[in-house]
Amino acid sequence: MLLEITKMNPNDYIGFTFFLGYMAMAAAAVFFFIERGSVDPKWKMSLLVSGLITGIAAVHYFYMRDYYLATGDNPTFFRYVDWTLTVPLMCVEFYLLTKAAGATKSLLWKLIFASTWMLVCGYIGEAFNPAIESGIPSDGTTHSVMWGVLSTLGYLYILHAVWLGEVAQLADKSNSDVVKRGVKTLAWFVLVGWAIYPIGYMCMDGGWLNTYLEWSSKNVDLWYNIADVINKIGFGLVVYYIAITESKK
Amino acid sequence: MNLFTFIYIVGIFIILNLFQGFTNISLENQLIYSSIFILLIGIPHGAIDHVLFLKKREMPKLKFYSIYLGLSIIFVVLWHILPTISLVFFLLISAFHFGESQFADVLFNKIYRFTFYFFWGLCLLSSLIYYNITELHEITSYFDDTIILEKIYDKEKIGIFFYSTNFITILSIIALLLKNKIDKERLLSELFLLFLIHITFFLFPFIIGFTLYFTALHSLKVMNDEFKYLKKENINFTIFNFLKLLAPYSILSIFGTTLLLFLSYYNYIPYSIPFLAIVIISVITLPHAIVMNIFYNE
Repeated sequence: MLLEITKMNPNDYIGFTFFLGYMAMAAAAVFFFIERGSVDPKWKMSLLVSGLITGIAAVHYFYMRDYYLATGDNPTFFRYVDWTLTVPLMCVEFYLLTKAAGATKSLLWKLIFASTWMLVCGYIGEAFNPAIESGIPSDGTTHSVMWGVLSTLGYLYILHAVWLGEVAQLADKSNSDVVKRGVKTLAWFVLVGWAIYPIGYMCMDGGWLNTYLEWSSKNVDLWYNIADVINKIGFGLVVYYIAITESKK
Repeated sequence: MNLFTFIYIVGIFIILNLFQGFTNISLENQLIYSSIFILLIGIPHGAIDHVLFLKKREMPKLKFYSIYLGLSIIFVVLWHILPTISLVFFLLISAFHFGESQFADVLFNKIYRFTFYFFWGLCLLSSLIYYNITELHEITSYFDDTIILEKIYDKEKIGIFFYSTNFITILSIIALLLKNKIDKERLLSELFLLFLIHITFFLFPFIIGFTLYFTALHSLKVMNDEFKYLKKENINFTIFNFLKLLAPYSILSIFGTTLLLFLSYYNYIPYSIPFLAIVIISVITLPHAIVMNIFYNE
């Protein structure tokens, strides 16, 4: 694939961020895998999960980069495949961090279910939108709203769990200030960092932000790429910080 | 993030999806649905002012009601004589009241507190007006009695007010951190909340944006504060007891307000619905804000 590319347009910020995203995720994955050796055994799983999140993302960004360069289109399919694997893994991190404070397998499954639900509904809403075939944005409104609402329910469940619900309460019960602060920081990622995704959903053709603010879904790839890098690598770094600080105690 | 911010975020998502489905919601529908929320959640938060005030005071109920209603009547008269000044006065009281309910739990000296509450509330209201100034002009210019209020919606003046109050508010919140009155977590939460409020006021029409803030972030929060206070006084006090306490004056206010709005709708009284709505809300806000100030100071 790369042999066919003779020139990258310097104004192609989306292409730039695909390359950047791929390499940054790959580097982060290597870092987390290597640093497993620097932490206590009880934190190795957390760093493994962080490595898997960024590693999986790196592979998908590799494909997304090529898809974008070949077609110029949003690689929606690959994005959702990536998110369907990595977002539940992020939820697993919340379970691992609060395990010492009493987090149960039931919490783990609830978070995985909510995140998978959120993504599957979002994918159906975005990829199977009738407007794509007909070319008429209003044809997809009912479909995108319905699946958008269903997807949002999953997101709100996770948001509630990490800020007010089970995860937050377990973190508060934790004996470690580092864990408490770390879970709070990750909760901010969920609140602020993950907000880009429903915004992007509403930017697709016919979506409200697309018609009201004229935000194009073409530009949204740039923001998705930046958000993914920050969310996944940032998430992993917070977990790394908790692991390394607790290990030094 | 607290429960009310979470409810606010849920509200934002619900409204975003509504707009996704119905790109344009007519002003009439906005008014109807917003009124329902304001009547069911907004009005009740002020329905136990008598309980909160008289709980620790030896004042005859008649005297309390005379003063409470007397203030409202004076304000009605003021609206009749000087509507523009009344609107400004109402905005100032509201600004203070909103700021106070948001930061009542933070302890800092009286003078700073007073000015801080004002600026936070003014930042909120100026943002609401600034982002929706065209819409406000359209609404107020439509009716004979609201057209006089247009003097306030001068884009340039509102713009200066908007930027200055936001700047001062943000600096003041940061100053609270530097003075160790709040921690970093609270600073982040408050700045994020301000950001959310701005986004809401920018994206949504005036009435919807205001209703969302007023019900989720203000009324529900104040009701929670009232409940916690009453629960502290009596450990057996339940949510059911609280609702029973709220019910009488809520029902009375809802009935009275609805009646007046119907009378306006069918032209039995010579005031437009928007004008009447502002007057009604403002005349109950004045005594309510005074009672709540006393409540929070205790």
